Formats: sequence, structure tokens, C-alpha cells
Amino acid sequence: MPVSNGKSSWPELANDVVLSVRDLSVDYQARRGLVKAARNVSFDLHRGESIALVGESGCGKTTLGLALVRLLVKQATIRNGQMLYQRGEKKMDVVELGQEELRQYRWAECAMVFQGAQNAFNPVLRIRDQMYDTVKAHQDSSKEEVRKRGMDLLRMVQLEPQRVIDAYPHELSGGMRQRVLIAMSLLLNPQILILDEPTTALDVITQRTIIEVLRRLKEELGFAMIFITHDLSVAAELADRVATMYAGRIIELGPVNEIFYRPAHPYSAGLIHAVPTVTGAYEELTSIEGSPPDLIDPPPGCKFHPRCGFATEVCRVDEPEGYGVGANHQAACHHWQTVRATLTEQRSQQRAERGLA
Amino acid sequence: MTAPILELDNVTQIFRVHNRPMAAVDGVSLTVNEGETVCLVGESGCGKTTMGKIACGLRQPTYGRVLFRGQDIWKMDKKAWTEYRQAVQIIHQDPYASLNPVQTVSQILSAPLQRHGLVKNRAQMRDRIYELLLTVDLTPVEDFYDKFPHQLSGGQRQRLSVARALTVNPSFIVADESVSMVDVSIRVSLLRMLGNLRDRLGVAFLFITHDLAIAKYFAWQGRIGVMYVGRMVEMGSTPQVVNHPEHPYTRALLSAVPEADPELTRHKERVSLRSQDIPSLFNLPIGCAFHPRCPLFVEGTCDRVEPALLPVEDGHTVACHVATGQVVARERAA
Ligand SMILES: Nc1ncnc2c1ncn2[C@@H]1O[C@H](COP(=O)(O)OP(=O)(O)OP(=O)(O)O)[C@@H](O)[C@H]1O
Ligand SMILES: Nc1ncnc2c1ncn2[C@@H]1O[C@H](COP(=O)(O)OP(=O)(O)OP(=O)(O)O)[C@@H](O)[C@H]1O
Ligand code: SF4
Ligand SMILES: [Mg+2]
Ligand SMILES: [Mg+2]
Repeated sequence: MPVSNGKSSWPELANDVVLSVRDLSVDYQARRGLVKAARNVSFDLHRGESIALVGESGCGKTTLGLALVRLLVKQATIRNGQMLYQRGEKKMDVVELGQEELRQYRWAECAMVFQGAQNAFNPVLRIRDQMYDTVKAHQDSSKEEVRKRGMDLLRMVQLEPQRVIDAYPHELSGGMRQRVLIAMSLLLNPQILILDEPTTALDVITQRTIIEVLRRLKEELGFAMIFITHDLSVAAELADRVATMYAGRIIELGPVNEIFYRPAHPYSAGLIHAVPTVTGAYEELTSIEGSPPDLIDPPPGCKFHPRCGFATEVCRVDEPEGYGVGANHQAACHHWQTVRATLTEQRSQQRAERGLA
Repeated sequence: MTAPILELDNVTQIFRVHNRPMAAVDGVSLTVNEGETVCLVGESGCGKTTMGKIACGLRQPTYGRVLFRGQDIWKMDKKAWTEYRQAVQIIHQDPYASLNPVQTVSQILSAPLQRHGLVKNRAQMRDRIYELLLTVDLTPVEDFYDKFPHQLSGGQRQRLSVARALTVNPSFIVADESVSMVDVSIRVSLLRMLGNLRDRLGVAFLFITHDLAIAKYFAWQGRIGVMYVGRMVEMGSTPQVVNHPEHPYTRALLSAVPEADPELTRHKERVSLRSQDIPSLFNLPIGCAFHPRCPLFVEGTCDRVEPALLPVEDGHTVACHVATGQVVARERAA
């Protein structure tokens, strides 16, 4: 049930928090057992900020994204947790919403651009009709009003409105379709936009356009953004904060510069040190040996311990909670001090050698 | 070891699609020396895979010659052809499609060993398969020996494709997007393994990727060729191309790449293009195919004359009227 009617259970939330995710767990029923795809995920999303959700394939990024708009497949269950949403006087726990309330919540409060969706348009509908159908499902609007709003948004995503609004999906390139989707997701002026791999499988120049479009839209419209990507360089470019996921948990969360220059979790650090830059001299990379754990039968203790060079006995037994490791920066690692001291030193030395200061 | 192992001499590949011809590769020449690494980069559809298939004899080009150690492969007798096909191996872009799903790892590796008569008996076969799996780090070997491809992760499947290519002791490997599909954490060890083959066994590589950062990392000691709609637009040593690009397309590509470093990527200079549209291969612009998008475009030349690949410095060639000093751009782009 929604707690929008001033129920006493509504906790104190800072004014600028638009969504507070608390202890959220999701699992899938599979033949072999329960896949624990998200485990006790907690974070606050603030008005107008962008959070990048990074991590390797299968770590639970899409699952978490789908949970936030309650579009999980039927084999999935939200085991526990809350998703407290607020916009002005409107307050609700998204976990408790019924079907009708959810319909209002999606698109109008929180919209999502799905992974690979640029290939999933309805092929027989022109863009203007896809837009109209989307709006019609939520509110009364005339075709003219929708067309006008649609044209404005197409212009904002740097497409030619006249040409694109009457086009069929197949007449547009993959990068153009991705921008149309972004425009469509903003039709109802949501406060939160979730994007699942918005630049994956696009060529670099197209990818660049999408990045610039998202940056500008966020500035102009002021929505908060969660974008899912396995590409750390996109996170480096677009995120205010970065959340690293591993085996269904957020294992590190902090401001983008903190995560990239002063990581406290060996896995985040490993990811960062595994990606070369194009600019500058040659740099040695380090690899993370091994592969991610089975989410049905994960190892005890820290889920990363079998791959971790810093692991000791405590890591094999106790799963670490998030430690505060800096301003607005948490990391779930028993040995974060050692990790940071070792890695920050190495990294700054490398950067200095490459003249990057 | 500076003798060429493979030369593509002015190759063109015409495809007919719905009965309309188009050139997926248009008059490209490329030489790879023994033990050398050459990277091909460029956007989707620019002809990288087609070049790779031509290099390993899977496709006969419509025009042009392919020379293996100086010999035209399409004029070889049976014996020379067999030698060539054994020496040159390809690791395909899609490891799912290229591994037989009903064969186990050991069966996949034993077939070519048997076919080429590279082992004499079962014991030798077993030893050789162990050695191959060790080389590609599929360890402990016992765990992988009897697995089927679907029981392997994406990275492991890539390793298996590499192991299969290695069965016949190749001296030249075409690696088509071999690390693009795998996660970052696994990518580095795959690249390192390929680098070891090159350094230890002297294998030459034609390394195809759309990821410029990966190209730089893997081919730092080698060369990079940049393709655009079927043509080679820039070719040079990796430091030349990556740190001192001359073709405006290469510059645009490099400047568009986001970097995994927040300060670096947020302060990077960006080249803006006059148009976002990649032209259709059926209807390429006259003159320089890049001219409708090019920030340096000079009317009257770029839209009339196709630029030739000309040297700008030692070992560095560029196909651009402005970059090679044939004409002067009216306003040099910032
Ligand atoms: N319908 C399902 N039934 C069972 N398990 C599932 C289902 N969907 C996803 N999973 C599992 O849940 C885990 C998380 O999957 P999810 O798609 O959220 O990962 P991801 O981080 O988005 O990966 P990618 O980067 O590949 O998109 C994976 O181990 C996956 O195999
Ligand atoms: N067998 C074929 N028949 C017709 N057209 C083809 C064939 N193979 C490739 N093409 C076309 O030739 C062009 C070049 O294709 P190619 O696969 O070489 O590009 P690529 O650079 O490898 O692209 P990607 O980065 O997407 O793998 C494309 O337009 C493609 O559609
Ligand atoms: S808790 Fe231990 S095993 Fe986990 S990341 Fe930290 S040091 Fe490694
Ligand atoms: Mg996903
Ligand atoms: Mg290809």
C-alpha cells in the first residue's frame, strides 16, 4: 500500500532526495535454485544528480533498474526493502504500489530506457504515433499537444523534428532511434530517468552525441539520472557519483573523482586499472583473475574474496558492510585502508609518469 | 624479421545486395610483416571483417592480389595452399557461431590436429591439447577437457577459439573483435595471452577492433590502419596515429572516445563534424568520401578528387588533401 496519505511510517528524508532505496533484495526463481540478483541494495538519489551503476555482466544492474520501475519478470520477487519516492507533497513507497498507481509512477515520475530497446520499436507506427500512444496511456492530451511536446524534445536530442516525427523506426539509424527513445522517455516530464546501457553497441561518434545530449538534457530539465553501463569511461564522463555492483550488491559508492582516483574497494580499483585510455603514453594494465561467483550459491564472506589479492581470513568468513571511507563515499571491504593506501600510491605514480598530473 | 608475411595488394571487394553493387573494401593495400601486429580500426560496416576474411583466404577479393610470403594465394598449387591455410588462422568475431555446440573442448581441439596429421597417437594428442589449454589459461585443464561450449563463459569461449587457432602452429592470426565481447576484468588477461603468443612464438597479428584504446594497448609496438567506408584513410605506427593523428576522421574518432579518467575526459578537446550521417556504401560521396562531414573540407577539391594515401612522415600515410598539403583549408578547425 502506498504511504502517500501521511502515514506515520514515512521516515525523515532530506529535502533533495527524490528516491531512497533501502535494503532492496530481488531474486529469480530458476531451476537450480534462487538467483540472488540484488542483495540489500541501499542508496539515495538526489534531485538533478546522475549516478552511474557499473559492474560486469550478470552482476545485477538491469535487475536493479527494472526493480526501480517495478517491471521485473514474473520469476522475480522483491524479497525485502523499500523504495521511497518523493516529489513535493507526493510521497510513496514504490515497493507497495498497486498496478494503477504504478502506471502513474512509470513515465510520469520515473521513466526507463531499456537495454537494447532501440531495436524494439513497433515497426508499423510512425514516431508521432508511438509518442501519442505513450502519453495517451497516462493523461488526456490532444494529438497536437503531444506532437508539439515531441518536436521540442526531438530538437533537444539534436534530431531534426520535422523529419523524424513522421518517420518510421526503420528509416532511422540505431543512434537516432536511441535519441528518439530518450526524447520519448521525457514526454511526461519525469523526475527520474533510468537508462540501461544507453551507449552500448553504438559507434564512438554516435556514442559521443548521446553523451552530449544526456548531459545537456539533464542540465536543462533538471531530472535525476541513473545510468547503467559496463563502460567505465562513460561513467567517468557523465556521472556525479558512481556505484559499483558486484554479485548483486553495491560494493562501493562515491563521487566520481573519489572512485576513480581514490578507490577503496579492490574490485572498483581493478575495473578502473583494467581500462586503457586513448590519450597519453602507453600504460600497463592490471587484470582481475578469476570470474564472478555463481549467484545461486555464492561464496561465504566477501563475495569478491576468491579473486582478491587483499583477502585474509576475515574476508572468507564475514561479509563486509559499507564503511564510510570519505565524504559521501562508502566501500564494503574489510581492508579498505590498506587497499586505498596501496593503490592510490601506485596510481598517482603512473599518472605522474604519463604526464597527467 | 621485416619480411612481409602477408600483403593485400590493392584489394577491392564488391558485394551485390538486391542486385546493386557496392564496394565493402575499395582499393586497399596492407602489408603485415613477420611477427608484426597491425590493427584495423573504424566504425561498424567500414570493412574490417571483410579485410580479415580476405587476408586469411576465406574470401577471394573481386580485384587485387593477396600474397603470402610473396606468393599469390589464389594462384597457389594444392601443397602451397594447404601450407598457407595452416599458417594463417582467424579467430572469428562471434565465438558462439564458430564453435560446434555438440563437440567437447577436447574434440574441438583434436579435429584440426588429426586433420593436419600433427599428432601421431592418442598420448601425443592428449599432451598437445593439455599444452594448448595451458597456453590459453583454461586451467585447471581437467575441468575444461570435457566441457561443451555452452558450459563456458564468454571469456573462456574466446580462449577456446584462440586455442583452436593455435592447434596448427600458425604464424599469422587474424583476431576479429576478439576481446570486444568480454568483460573488462577478463579482457586484460586475454590481451596479455595474445601478446605472449606474439612475443614468445613470434606470431604476426591482424587485430581488428572498433575500440581505439584497445588498439593502442595491444599494438603499441605495431601499426594502426584507420578505415572509413571501405577505404584506408590513415596508416602509421601506433604512437603516430594515436598521439599525432593527421586525418580529420581519425582526429574526430579519437576525440569522441570517452576516457576512463574523469578529469581527462571532461577536459578533452572535441572535434565537431559538419554532419553525423555515415554515407551509404551504395551512394558514396564523390571525391573524398568523408567530405560531407569533414571540418577541413575545401570546396572544389575535396568534393571532386579522391585523395591518395600519401606519406606525411616516415611510415605514416594519410588520404586527405589538406593533411598532406595538397590544398590549404580556408579556416583551420580548432
Ligand atoms: N529471468 C531470470 N531468471 C533467472 N535468472 C535471471 C533472470 N534474469 C536475470 N537472471 C540472472 O540474474 C543475474 C543478474 O542479471 P542482470 O541482467 O541484472 O545483470 P546485468 O548486470 O544487467 O548484466 P549485463 O551487463 O549482462 O546486462 C544474472 O546472474 C542473471 O543470470
Ligand atoms: N556477404 C556479404 N554480402 C553482402 N554484404 C556484405 C557481406 N559481408 C559484409 N557485407 C557488407 O559489407 C560492409 C562491410 O562489412 P564488414 O563486416 O566488413 O564491416 P566491419 O567493419 O567488420 O563492421 P563491424 O564493426 O560491424 O563488424 C557492410 O556494409 C556489410 O553490410
Ligand atoms: S573484503 Fe577482503 S576479499 Fe573483499 S575486497 Fe576487501 S580485501 Fe578483498
Ligand atoms: Mg543488463
Ligand atoms: Mg566486423
